[in-house]
Amino acid sequence: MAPTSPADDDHAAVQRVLAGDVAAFNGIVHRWQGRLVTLAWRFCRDRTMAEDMAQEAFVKAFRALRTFRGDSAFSTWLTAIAMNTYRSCLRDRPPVAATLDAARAVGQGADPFIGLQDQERAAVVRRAVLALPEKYREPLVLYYFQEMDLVATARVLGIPEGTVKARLSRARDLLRQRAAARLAGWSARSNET
Amino acid sequence: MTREPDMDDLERLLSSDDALVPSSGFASSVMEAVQRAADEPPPLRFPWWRFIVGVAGCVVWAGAAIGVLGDLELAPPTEPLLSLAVAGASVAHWALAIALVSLAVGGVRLLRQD
Repeated sequence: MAPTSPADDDHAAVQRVLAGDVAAFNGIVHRWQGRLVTLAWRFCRDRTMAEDMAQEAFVKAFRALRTFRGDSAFSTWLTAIAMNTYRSCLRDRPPVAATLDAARAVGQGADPFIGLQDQERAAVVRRAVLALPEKYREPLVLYYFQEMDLVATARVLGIPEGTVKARLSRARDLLRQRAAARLAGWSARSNET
Repeated sequence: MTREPDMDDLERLLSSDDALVPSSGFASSVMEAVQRAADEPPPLRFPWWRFIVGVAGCVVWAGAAIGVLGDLELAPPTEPLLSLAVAGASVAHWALAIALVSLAVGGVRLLRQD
């Protein structure tokens, strides 16, 4: 029997769910839970909130499964639903401030060759990402953190590729300025202690 | 001295973010929520046909009323009721016919829907 790709598995699971086999959705959840929870976490940096948002996204995807026509990858369709869900969740709930310690704790599994100084710099950059306006934060998270290409990012956000490029460029500029300011502030506090 | 991160530095810092592993009970919690969603009755659809028929009926009635009132001539004060009845009779049959047609169309739609 030939091995099946994740895309084939997703399409088969969708067909089974639409035929009434709700349990088939379990395969979709298992394949995509990591990506959806991580994506949510990158917008709030809070595990409980991220899992709540991801669960809501899965339920919305289940309800909307009939609208999946297969003209784009299942991952793109699912991520678009997740993005819409997270956007409305984050508007309803107050933003969670990510502390440097929390970011450091999650970063413990990072590449051991990245020095502590580097990890702290990365944490500052991640916090600066959270503070970006929504229209710059979303393409940045999808493109860099979720490692989507321009085409997929544009499809998920429902905007042209050129707009994604422009927003990424503007986001990097803003990030560079804000991260520098935060790093300067953090460095000054570190030197005081 | 803190330097402003350059573009390569920034790209590297952005790409070094870790993934979050969902907690062990996450998938089962999602499936419970999905099962609850599957057990819910389907949401009631907005009754578009009834709405359209209702709006069409209102428009027809409003049109007929405007037509009747427009054709009315002011009656002499001595015989108001008689002149109203005479003037109204010339368009009343049109209004009645339009109302019957709209009710018939609405009734057919509702029967087909049920």
